[in-house]
Amino acid sequence: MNLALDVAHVAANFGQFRALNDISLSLEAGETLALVGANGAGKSTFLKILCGLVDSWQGTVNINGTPLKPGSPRQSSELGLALVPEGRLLFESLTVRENLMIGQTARSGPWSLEAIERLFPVLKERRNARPRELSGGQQQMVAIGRALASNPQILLFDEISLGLSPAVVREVYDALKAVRKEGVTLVIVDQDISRVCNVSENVACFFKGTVTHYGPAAGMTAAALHEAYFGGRT
Amino acid sequence: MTAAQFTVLIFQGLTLGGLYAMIGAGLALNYGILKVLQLAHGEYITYGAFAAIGAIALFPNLPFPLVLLLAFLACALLGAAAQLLIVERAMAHRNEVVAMLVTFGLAVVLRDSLAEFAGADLRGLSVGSLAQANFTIAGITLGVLPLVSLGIALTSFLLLALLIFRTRLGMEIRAVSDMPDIAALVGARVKRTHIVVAALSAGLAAIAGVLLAMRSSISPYSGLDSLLIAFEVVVLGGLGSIRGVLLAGLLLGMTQVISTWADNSAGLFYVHLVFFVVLVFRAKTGKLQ
Ligand SMILES: Nc1ncnc2c1ncn2[C@@H]1O[C@H](COP(=O)(O)OP(=O)(O)OP(=O)(O)O)[C@@H](O)[C@H]1O
Ligand SMILES: [Mg+2]
Repeated sequence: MNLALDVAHVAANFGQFRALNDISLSLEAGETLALVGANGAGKSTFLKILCGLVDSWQGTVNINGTPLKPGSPRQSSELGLALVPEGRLLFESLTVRENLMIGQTARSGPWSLEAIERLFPVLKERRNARPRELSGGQQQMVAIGRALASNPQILLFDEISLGLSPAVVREVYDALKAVRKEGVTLVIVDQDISRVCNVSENVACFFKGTVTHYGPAAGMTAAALHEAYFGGRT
Repeated sequence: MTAAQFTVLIFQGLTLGGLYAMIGAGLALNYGILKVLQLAHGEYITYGAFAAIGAIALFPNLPFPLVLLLAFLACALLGAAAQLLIVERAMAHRNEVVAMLVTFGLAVVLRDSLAEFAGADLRGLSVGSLAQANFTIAGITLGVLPLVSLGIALTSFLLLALLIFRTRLGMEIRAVSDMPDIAALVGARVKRTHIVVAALSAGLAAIAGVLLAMRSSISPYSGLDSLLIAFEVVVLGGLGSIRGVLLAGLLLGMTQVISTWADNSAGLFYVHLVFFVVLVFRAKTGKLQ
């Protein structure tokens, strides 16, 4: 069986600056990976590569056995990837309902608009609002809903709980449980390491563009992760 | 001034305003969505007029709606080709000035090609007996042609608004305009959307050109005058807002009709003046957008 996501020796530069170096990871279908690391470690860059938002990088990425071309967000979308980006990045010219609708693709699956609005009832109440009229938590729900609407096979979250109140973070993580039940493969970037490790099978820690720790989330000790977070290889 | 004269004046202002709004519509759409100031917009208007004039010369009995459709399609095709072959590549630099300069070159080439091909003479669109037709209600006599022109303008705006705000394509167009990368990631075809918008903009320009040629004569060198009006309408309307363009067109049309009534030799002076005053006021309050 093909891996859902197979990343081998990925590297990326911004000019002279090496943002990622020799990244190798793999996820089985339905697996959740926690991706942690300090600011500037390269987590967002890695997710952007998967989404086709970086024009040039080296290495190989296979999605369900299909090689990913650099810089083609449409291909990523067709291969079943969806992103909940850092900072939400909602379409301001679209209403909340339209932001969900634009996420829909030809792929069918459990995430109809009704199912998404059942997951986050507030999206139904505010369906005619513009994103900027919503609270940060509600905006994050729109971003998650937009990604779910494509019925993705692989769902990527960048800074899933950044700027959200504890109650909203709990609501978002509860929603993740429902998403995981549908067999979606997840990569979650979060600063709240223990919370994200709690819902993940594996955890990878990036430091200055390299993987300093990669292994099961369950046996992970706080000390080992702390070490990896600041550059020690574990 | 009698009430009847006043009504006629308002009607004339609306008609001219509708035409001005049409002249600006395509430019606003193109700028609002693609963020490219399409300097060949005036040429698209002229080409639309000449397409209609040519169609009637070839097929004198062609029904008017078909003439309009033909002009629309011809310019839409031209706009799509220009976007695909020229503007799209310039846009890849993500530099608005580069794209604008390219459209400037396009404008000059289009203008000179038309002059070379069709001659530099002034022409008008003959609409036969419709030109003189009029009707009288409540003792007020109005022309049929201006009414048709106003109807076409308002219908075009209505259809444009429906397309942009009520269809899946329109949703995709707005999303691509907001954030092309993220739109592509949710499955939008960015390049195709750009081409559709450019085609639609040029098609709207063609309709404006037909309305313009029904009202006055036009030459291959009329594009710059049209672009000037379009530019004023679009800036007044808030750089890309469909409703804003309609209101700005009506304001400038009214201004011209009323100022001409007061001073026969005023021409476009008061139109430009109103534009300038509003612009200065907005620049002062920092609300240019
Ligand atoms: N477009 C870009 N041009 C130049 N440098 C970039 C660009 N994008 C990212 N970088 C650099 O690459 C490095 C990795 O950035 P990235 O955003 O991937 O980190 P991150 O792990 O997501 O950090 P954070 O936790 O702050 O979100 C940073 O040093 C950043 O400055
Ligand atoms: Mg980041």
